[in-house]
Amino acid sequence: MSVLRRLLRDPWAVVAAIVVVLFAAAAAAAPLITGLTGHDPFTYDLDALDGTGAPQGAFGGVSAQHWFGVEPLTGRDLFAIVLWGARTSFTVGVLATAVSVSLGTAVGLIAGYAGGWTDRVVSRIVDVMLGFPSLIFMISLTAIVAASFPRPLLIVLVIGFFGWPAVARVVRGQVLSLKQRSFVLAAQAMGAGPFDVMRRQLLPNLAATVVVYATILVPAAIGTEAALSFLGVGVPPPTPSWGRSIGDAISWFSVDPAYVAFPGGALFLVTLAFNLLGDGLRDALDPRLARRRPRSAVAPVVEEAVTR
Amino acid sequence: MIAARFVLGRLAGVLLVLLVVAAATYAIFYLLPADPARLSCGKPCTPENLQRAQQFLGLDAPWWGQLGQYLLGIVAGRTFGTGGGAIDCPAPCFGYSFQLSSTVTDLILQRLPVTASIAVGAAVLWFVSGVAGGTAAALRRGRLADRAIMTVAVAGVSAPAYLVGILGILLFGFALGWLPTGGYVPLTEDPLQWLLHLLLPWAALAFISAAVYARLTRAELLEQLSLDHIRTARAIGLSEPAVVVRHGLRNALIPVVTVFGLDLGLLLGGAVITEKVFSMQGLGSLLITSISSLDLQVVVGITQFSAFLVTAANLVVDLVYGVLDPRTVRR
Amino acid sequence: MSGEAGRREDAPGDVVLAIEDLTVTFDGDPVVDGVSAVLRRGRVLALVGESGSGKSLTAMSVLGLQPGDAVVTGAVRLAGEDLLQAAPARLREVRGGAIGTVFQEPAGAFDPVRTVGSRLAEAVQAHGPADGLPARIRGLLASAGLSDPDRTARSYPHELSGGQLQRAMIATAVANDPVLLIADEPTTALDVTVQAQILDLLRRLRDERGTAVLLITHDMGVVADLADEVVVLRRGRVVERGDVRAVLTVPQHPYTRELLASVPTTARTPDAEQPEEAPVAVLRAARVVHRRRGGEVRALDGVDLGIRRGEVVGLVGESGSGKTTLGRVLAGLVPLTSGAAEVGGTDVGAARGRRLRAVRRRLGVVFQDPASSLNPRDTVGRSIAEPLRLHSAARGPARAERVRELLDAVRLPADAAGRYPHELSGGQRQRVAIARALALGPDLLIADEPTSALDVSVQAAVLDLLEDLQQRYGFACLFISHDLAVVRRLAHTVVVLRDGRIVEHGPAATVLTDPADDYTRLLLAAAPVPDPARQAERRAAFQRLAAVR
Repeated sequence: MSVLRRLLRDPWAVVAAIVVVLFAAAAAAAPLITGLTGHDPFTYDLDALDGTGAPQGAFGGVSAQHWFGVEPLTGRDLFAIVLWGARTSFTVGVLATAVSVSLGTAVGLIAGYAGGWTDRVVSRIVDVMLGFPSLIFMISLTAIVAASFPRPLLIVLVIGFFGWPAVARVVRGQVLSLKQRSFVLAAQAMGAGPFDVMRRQLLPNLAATVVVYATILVPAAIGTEAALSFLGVGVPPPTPSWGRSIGDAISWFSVDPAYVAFPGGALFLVTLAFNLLGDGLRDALDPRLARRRPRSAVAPVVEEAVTR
Repeated sequence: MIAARFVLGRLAGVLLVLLVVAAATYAIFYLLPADPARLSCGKPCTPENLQRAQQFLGLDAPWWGQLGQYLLGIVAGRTFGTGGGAIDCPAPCFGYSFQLSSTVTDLILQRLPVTASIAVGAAVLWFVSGVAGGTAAALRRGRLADRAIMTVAVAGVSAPAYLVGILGILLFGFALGWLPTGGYVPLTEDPLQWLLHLLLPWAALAFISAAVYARLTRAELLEQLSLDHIRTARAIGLSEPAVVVRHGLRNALIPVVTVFGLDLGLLLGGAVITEKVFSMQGLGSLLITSISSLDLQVVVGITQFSAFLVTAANLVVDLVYGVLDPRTVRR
Repeated sequence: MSGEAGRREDAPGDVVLAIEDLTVTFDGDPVVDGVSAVLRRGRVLALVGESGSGKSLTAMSVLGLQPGDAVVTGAVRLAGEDLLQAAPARLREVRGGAIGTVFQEPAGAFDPVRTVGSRLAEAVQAHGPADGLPARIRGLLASAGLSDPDRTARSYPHELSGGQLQRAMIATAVANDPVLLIADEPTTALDVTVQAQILDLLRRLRDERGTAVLLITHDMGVVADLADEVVVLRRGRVVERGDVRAVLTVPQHPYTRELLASVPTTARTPDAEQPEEAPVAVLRAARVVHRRRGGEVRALDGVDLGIRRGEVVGLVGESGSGKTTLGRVLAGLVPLTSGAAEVGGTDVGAARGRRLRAVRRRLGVVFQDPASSLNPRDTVGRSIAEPLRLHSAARGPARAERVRELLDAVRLPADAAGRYPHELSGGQRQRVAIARALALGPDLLIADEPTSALDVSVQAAVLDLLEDLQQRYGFACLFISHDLAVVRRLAHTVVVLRDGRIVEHGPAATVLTDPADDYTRLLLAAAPVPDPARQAERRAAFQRLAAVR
């Protein structure tokens, strides 16, 4: 309750939350909305283009018909593409984060609680994976997976898999410090088993960290999907994706600079909103957390893990 | 004595990591796919290239034999095939492209200067500007400068390199005409053009990380400045700059350097993206073209090479860390 | 002794520092409220109070090191000059120059990535030419009683002990021959034997250099040992001041009396019945060895111990003596390397599953830190019910009823059950921890420094409660503490632990008044008492014993 109240007192966090909710709603209702506007993101409209394939009209063909203009070469409605792109982004972002967070929490919890060589081996793996050129690995992985394997699922799994070490690292650090606290020792002395201690004593105290982390991982995963699509190895066409639109826009710079504005703006806005919300949540959930070292040292790594 | 043991320990650790990474990479890319020879053959795949690929990869050998040959090739070089068609691949051998008729190592070395120029310059730029910005913000905590720097930082944190790069090209390239809109000029050919062509890529790639480092430096420095040893330093009459730089920043940099070490992997990924934005022919463009032309040997070679590069760079960061924080060395 | 008495009768020395009507406010709330004090050459003025009394803030305001949002008014005159009005540059000259400072936590007071010698070098260089710096550093460290000054200077803080670091901090503080030394809880983080040595060092500085000392402490024993004059602070106000003998022996203000009364001095009256039954908890040849790089550490080294029903065993030792390990072995938290640990006839080290659970039902634990003894996400009621949930069938109304009973037993209101730990004070949290430990009616209670983090007045109440509960329920109790006075207050039997071995074991009355072992004697002599005359005797005894060793 007081968490919500503290969050509501942070104007930036409130604005950010509204933006996130709006985008999420728009993504969910995309087919409905494009049904109303009458333009889906798949239908070509060569009439909207001039002879060179560039959109007719100013600002990439912005008109009452096409609110964001049209895509060069195909004439598809850019508003519909951006709207459906949000669907792709949110689906991939949320699912990949779910993969990372559940894997990372489980691994971090077990490693931190077990200690000893389990912890040493896991920590070493986490360190190596955190420092890994993961984007290059992800790009390469798309080369060997059979074409029959659904591409969006592959993207979710790959992004989710490279996201867990950061979560595991933070969770492990928290568990190590919680383990030193008397109430955990007391629970053990009372006869609570490992599973009971993890569930009753540790997890409730990790919840804040994990929630904040999940909030910053979503935009990171969205950014990674966009980066992969930007490079042409992400979700396959014709599934709309902000990253691919931005990638396509590069070759239209000199002719149609407005093409990049809408998908790029949407990506920036969503990422910014999630990051601001994450900051606000962190402060609201535990004002002291914001100043604590382990999180400040590691959070930014994931925060921008792959948005660049 | 103690320092030597520290360095040797880290070195041994790095070698072990390299071995595990190489083996894992091989397993993922050559043992998992149903037909690695076909993936290595190139597009279009001529029957003789396919046959060479099958023969060269040694697919008839058991998996541990293949892995052993592969690992040995990296360390000592290897020869693909036998007789007249044999191809020598000297160490470090990261594979052979049948399509381009060249060892992967040669291909990488041709492209490396481009990627290295982007990556090293950007890393220096982001580290310096991030730490400077974060320090300035921390020292003016709560005041206008702090809020301005942190606002830019939050925005920066959310702006992908390709967006920043595109904006930079539109503004400084097309609108103002101050800087080239893309391409690469080797340093040896024309240092000034090299620099001019790299300014925008550096800025684009560094922007986001500078924001991260500014936030991180600010938080760490504020934390350090609240500690007891800072109070003691003030109580013996040290001047404020001495307190902040010698005792505050010095300690605050330790976690920043840790993050820097972890970010080297991201740096390479960022460079790949930046290359595409600025149409530069570096490792990234080689990787992307190899994927579309189905040249698995090159794809794996680049992946393997970048993993090695990052691990080696991490060793350097680790040693620097040892200098920064004597506790890790003298325990 | 006579020399000291003689010195005290001398005419008062020159005034070094005068604090006049010092007030420090945060957001308009005064935390220090009109404090005045006068420090003279060669004299020690003690500022005494519990947490929140404003004593440390007063000292920091003298140096201009108060938090940024504090507003300071009044005057702090150093040889007539008001430091509150001084320019920053002048303040820097004074800090480490005319005024040296020693802080509480020596481990945190040094920059972790720089050597101790470099800190001394900075202190010297900040205040003038540094001719012959290495020799000066060596001399300063040696005069602070560090036996190997060169090695100390080369060391990083994590390589030195707390006592060594505190000596090095004192060496830093006196590097530029200050006229005033501010010592903010200088011995609170240290073992008693080390504390006695550090107090000796401060006394020597006062006597040999004529340095005035502003001593900030919560410990009346330390006051009795070192101070000439006392100012008692409560919630930012001075409630009493005067000569140390007058204040400590015939206190005028009720608060001072309460503070002094809270210091546990009375010994426990031995219970009439001497229990003959078999012990509830037994350790036989217990050894715990931790392997570290470059050797092994023997946390426990062949300990034999039995605790009977109705008996309180006080376990005493300094840091690193193994006393906490011993408690954790009996609680089944630390495995033995060899030997046996039995509670109620079951080996806690070897028991697994159901048998271990059965043992654990029979013991309760209370740990030191009230800040972390309770799960911050659980209400008090849930925390107390935790052992009931784990071990008993009682649920619903029965469980709630038991929680109410327990709250009542530890003298907390029933509505505390719905509160969260952060809404409670430290003493209240320890009461909750005690209630939780007693929930299942244990045969053995293990209490590891349960009152060390509390203010004396709160500590006294918690000790009363523990004694009362122990008499009422008759459980066996292992009471672990570094504080002899606290142990004396509660224990029937005392065990003295050193380097993992028992050096003395016997009835409390015997061990604490007529110890057989030299180390026990040293410990006893090192623990200060809040009576200047008796403390002077103790100090002399400590110095004799320490000289022999």
